Amino acid sequence: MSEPTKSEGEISCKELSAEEAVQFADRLVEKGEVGQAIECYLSVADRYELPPADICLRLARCYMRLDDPAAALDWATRVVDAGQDYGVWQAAALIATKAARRLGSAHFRQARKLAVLSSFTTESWVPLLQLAALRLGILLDVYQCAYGQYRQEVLNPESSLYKFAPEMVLIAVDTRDLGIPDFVQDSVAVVDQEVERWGGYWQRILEELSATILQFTFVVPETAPFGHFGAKLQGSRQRVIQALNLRLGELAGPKVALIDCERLASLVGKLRWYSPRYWHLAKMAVSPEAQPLLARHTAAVIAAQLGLSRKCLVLDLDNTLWGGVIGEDGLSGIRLGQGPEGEAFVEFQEYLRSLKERGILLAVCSKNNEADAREPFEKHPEMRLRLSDFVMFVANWKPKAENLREIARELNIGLDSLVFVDDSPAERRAVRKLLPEVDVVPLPEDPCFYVRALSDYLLFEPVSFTQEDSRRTELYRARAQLSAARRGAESLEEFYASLRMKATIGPFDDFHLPRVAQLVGKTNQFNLTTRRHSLAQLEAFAQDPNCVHFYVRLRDCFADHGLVGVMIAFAKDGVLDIDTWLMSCRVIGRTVEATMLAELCRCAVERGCHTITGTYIPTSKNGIVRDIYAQFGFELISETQGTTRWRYDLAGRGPIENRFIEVEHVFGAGNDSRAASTANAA
Amino acid sequence: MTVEQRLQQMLRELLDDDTVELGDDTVAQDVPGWDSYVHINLMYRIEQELGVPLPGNKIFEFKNFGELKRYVIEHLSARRTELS
Repeated sequence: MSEPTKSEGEISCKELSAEEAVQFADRLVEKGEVGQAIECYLSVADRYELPPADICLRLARCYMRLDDPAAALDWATRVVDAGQDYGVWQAAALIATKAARRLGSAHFRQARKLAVLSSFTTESWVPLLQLAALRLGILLDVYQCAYGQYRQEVLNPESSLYKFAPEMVLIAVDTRDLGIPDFVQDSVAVVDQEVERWGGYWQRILEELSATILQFTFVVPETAPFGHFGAKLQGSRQRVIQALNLRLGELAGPKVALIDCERLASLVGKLRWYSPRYWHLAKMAVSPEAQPLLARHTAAVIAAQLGLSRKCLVLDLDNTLWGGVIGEDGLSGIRLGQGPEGEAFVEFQEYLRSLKERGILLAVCSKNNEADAREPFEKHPEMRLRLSDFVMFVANWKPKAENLREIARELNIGLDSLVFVDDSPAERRAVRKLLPEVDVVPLPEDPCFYVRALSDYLLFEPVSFTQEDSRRTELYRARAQLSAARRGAESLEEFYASLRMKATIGPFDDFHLPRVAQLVGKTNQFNLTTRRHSLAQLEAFAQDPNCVHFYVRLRDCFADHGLVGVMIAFAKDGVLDIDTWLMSCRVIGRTVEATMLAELCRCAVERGCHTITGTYIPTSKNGIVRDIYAQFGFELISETQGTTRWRYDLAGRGPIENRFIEVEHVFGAGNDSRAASTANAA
Repeated sequence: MTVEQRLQQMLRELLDDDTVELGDDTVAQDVPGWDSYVHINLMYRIEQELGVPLPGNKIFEFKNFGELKRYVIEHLSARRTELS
């Protein structure tokens, strides 16, 4: 296609194929004709019951450019219904969260503060969760703990978690973090211990906060070291994890909701749920392709907790509850019970009945003569649903939108409590347009897949199931169990001690310099000055007699974390000034920072320095260390545009210490070997 | 759309910033917001949408945008040759 000219600008997009129209509109956007482009995209979107995700995204972006955040948000959140593509979700999430910030909390049904405590990186997933929540009218203000920090956050009453004061706390910890080996000797004790630990965390959070807890269940890994034998082997990893999930389900009282990741992983297949690549590369415990699914489900559980679950399912009749048209085919002509199609409708009715039995209201909304519509319920032997299963039965020839309003009014519930199920795309489309508050389930053509389509609709998520009295009994039972669990909860000090951490500290040498340079080049969070020294500069520092430089390696009872910390400081006139101080995010919150300062104090004393000074230069990523100097007793000397200078009076205060990490020193063997190899080369 | 435009478009979407312009010398640090998470998401999209594999740590090894672009182009043309 050629560039749009004035005359082409008048082309009606309706006459172009969808693909051509999109290309045409794309070029209008490039030319800055955003309004025209929107009209063209809308004409494409109108051709689908659910517009494709890329069209929704383009519309959202255009509306953002026109400074219409409400429309931008609407289109960005439609991506949620249009598929589960991770890349598109990411892009939509960016727009939706920006638009939502602009609109403010008053625009939404609910606004909540959510803390995410995790053992893996959640930075890429949280925007998807926010997107899925916005789709349900929920604005989430999210605090994410640093990767792997959940224990410290829960156990330390002064932690950022408690300062944030969230109304919901999501514990997103994955199975790997449990460190359960392929086989455990005393599996009962191991499960007991884990149940006590998690129960203890829940209890601790509920004591400090008036919050609801959301906890991921643990996913049995896709690998089975004992093969099928593991299913009957007491103490196999799979059985321990299954037992733990069961016990957590028993322990979870009304303030704790589980998000059943084990089920979701099975649903998509564990090979797709978890990708070893993304784990090793980015510490994502859930593969990108499964993240939209997890986001949708988590948002649905949050909605349920906020009382936003839907109450009433409104059903069409012909070709929805049975095959054929009762008014034309007659009682003996409709397909129900016999043959593959008839069986599928029976299965669907049974599924609906089970929804009804757990508290979902059923209503009928059908274009039929009322007597015809009632006949199968009264006379057909294969009907599973009875007239008494419905709270409302509306069969007439009025538009369905009108009938839906009537149903909501009669039942005295909002339109936003209704879910509409109809086999006719035209009826569904009309309801979507006229009553956007009503959720519409996109039924597939084949009735065999009706049950799945409805079970993939997530807003029937209940928060409780029992009668008020038995619920009360359960409440007391859970409370009793929790207080037992609390006795087993650890303190932060005990946690640090239990890690049995050992640090190896040494000056930069040839062997370690490449990793040091890598950390200097990419560390964003725990990095006081974010100075990106090159490898050559670092080599020069290593040769500078006034430079104090060391790296820290850390290992604990679980793993060797490798080289995780770098310190560079310069001595001058009795003052040791910190040029660079950084730590890999994988060891934040384990007191390594104290060990690094302790080492620096030791070096200062060795060189006869009486004072240590340091600088904090703020960036968008390093807020986590803004107060770190203050925490260790440094005094603030100056502040200019957020950059702060700090001084530690070593002579007066004495050296900083850390009793939780044992230190081993190595001395720059690498530099000597380089000297040797240089000699050889010469 | 050329490979270069496509990659630029992906990055614009990942940063929600239509002003991003990429040259051969561009490195991630030059572009506000282009952090390691964006980098991983870019890798995912290149693999999924262009079908170009970026095994292991590859995505972190390119010196600049030009190197990444050339790698993608080479892979796409190699595949075309295979098919024909």
